[in-house]
Amino acid sequence: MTQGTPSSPAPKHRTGNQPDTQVDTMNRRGFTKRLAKMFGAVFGAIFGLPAVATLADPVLGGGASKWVDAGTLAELAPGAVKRFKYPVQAGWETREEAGFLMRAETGDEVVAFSARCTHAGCKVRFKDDEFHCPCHGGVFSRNGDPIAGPPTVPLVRFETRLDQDHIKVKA
Amino acid sequence: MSAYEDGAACRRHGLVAPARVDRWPNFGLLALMVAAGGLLSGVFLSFHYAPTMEAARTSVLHLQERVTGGAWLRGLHHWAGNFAIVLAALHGLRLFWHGGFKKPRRALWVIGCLIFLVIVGFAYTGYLLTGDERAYAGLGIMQAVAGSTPVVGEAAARAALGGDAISSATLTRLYAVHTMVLPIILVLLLGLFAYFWRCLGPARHHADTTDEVVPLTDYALRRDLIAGLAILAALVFFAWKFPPAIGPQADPIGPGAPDAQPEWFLLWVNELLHMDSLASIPNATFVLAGLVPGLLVALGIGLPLLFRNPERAPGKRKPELILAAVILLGIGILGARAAARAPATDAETTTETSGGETGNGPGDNSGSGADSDAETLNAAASTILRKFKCASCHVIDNAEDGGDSGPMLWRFGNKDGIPKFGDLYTRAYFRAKVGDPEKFWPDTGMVYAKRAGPMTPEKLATLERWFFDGAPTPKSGDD
Repeated sequence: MTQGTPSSPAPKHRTGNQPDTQVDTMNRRGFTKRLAKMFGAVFGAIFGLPAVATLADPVLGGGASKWVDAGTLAELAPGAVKRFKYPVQAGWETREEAGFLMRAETGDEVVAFSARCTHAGCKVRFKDDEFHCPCHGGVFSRNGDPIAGPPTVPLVRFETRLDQDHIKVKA
Repeated sequence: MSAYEDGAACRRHGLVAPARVDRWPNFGLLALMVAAGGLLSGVFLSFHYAPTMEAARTSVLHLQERVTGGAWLRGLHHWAGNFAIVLAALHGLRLFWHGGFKKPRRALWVIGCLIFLVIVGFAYTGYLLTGDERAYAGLGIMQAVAGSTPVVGEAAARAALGGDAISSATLTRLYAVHTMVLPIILVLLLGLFAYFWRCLGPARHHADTTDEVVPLTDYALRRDLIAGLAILAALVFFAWKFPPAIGPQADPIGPGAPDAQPEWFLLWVNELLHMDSLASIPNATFVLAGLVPGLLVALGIGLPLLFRNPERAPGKRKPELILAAVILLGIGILGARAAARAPATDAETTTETSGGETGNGPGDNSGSGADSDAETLNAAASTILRKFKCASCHVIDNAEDGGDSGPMLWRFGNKDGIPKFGDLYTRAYFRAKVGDPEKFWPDTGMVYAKRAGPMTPEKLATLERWFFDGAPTPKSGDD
């Protein structure tokens, strides 16, 4: 390949791309091809890696549960069921979700349920001493056991403990 | 006209290029490459952005500070946009120099100008999306300029904002333009460009009057690939060393940002708006920020019709070159003046601080040893507060600026019921929280401050002393 010297005066262009021999052309093509592949790889890595990392971030993080205060025992009569709220960190927000507290007929034992139906994830409502799912007619007993409709798995229970008079739920 | 230029060569050989090329890479191709990077990174950025007044800044900050790879993604996107403007402008300048806008490339020139406008449109709508005070100021200017349009001003302003005020509707429509409308227009224009380009190939050097062509695959591709790698390296360097900033949360009823400059490519318009001598022009806002840029755009697009002389050698095109030089020089001078003004605000702040350190600040209490101690403390604390960017989330001590995602930290409270800092927090709480925010409260937003480096015991002690025992900072910044 012939090239003008960089300092050659006007007209400022070189005569390039004019193959001297067949072999020369093939070498050059091979080099250009490798260069193109390398460029593609670098470009892909620079933009692809952060893209994959940011997509993976919410998948890999999260899932942490912590103890939250769900009110006092005094507010929950023996045998009663009531809703409680717990915070969930999601993206740039802290959202609130709800669950149910159920106090045993006798004693201090408190059970905490997730409000999500174990069949297809809808929010269950507490009515007539049972949990009813509005989506597919699932019914759970006040203990969270499936008693009618499609659900076969009990409502998910959260760990609970009593801190003096306060009900703590690990949600 | 040569066989190359009338497309005959294309019909004979497939895609061709001039056999003789100069030593520069093809800036248009490079611009296309970084634009592709901008588009690609933008797709993934959109997974993490909420176009509402409440959430925009928080979502950007979350991505940048807490999502793995988020800062890289945003930095690359930001700089890809800026690089695309520069490379496309260089491409245009080079074509202009070689007379590449003349017959038979007139359609290509016009389409290229429209592509350039779209690229600038991306950067413009992009910088207005961040939900901080600077973006809010930019939106205000957009509202004012649209509103200043004769006859249809009110309608134009409402169309731009999606209502009567800057709101989430504004951000949503700008986001729609940025991520839907502009990409679609860009792809259509690039398709049109490719259609016209197909038989013309890359523009010729102005001195190249030969008819020689080579297959396009040979055309300087190695040089463009190597230049492309260099550009990618520069992109990574800029994204790493100069991450795009995000300021305090926009507060429509707050005092606003002390200094809100637009993106660099708008500085020259901002400078026109800044000049007192031009303010007396009737409807100056419209004339300076609407009419002048609009006429320049029209002039750029209409260049092939304005200068029909087929001569391509620069030496024989003096009127064209002089006109271009005057316009570019004017824009350059205006931009440089605006840029020189921008950092002055920082310098003032620094002077204030160093004045405090030497004990002769502008306050009325310089002199006695105790007061100068207080001023030293004020200065030291303000340096730390700045370093850790506390004001991004907190309004500190009645400051004019500050974010509102953290609690207000007013050392002396106020009569409207904001409690004193010492009434809200104990020293032990302060040391535990500020000393190691993440350990104290794993979900704290204060991890954002961690970027500034470790909170050393000395710094912590200084801050504690300032928050609990410090004297008021003399008011000196506003005059």
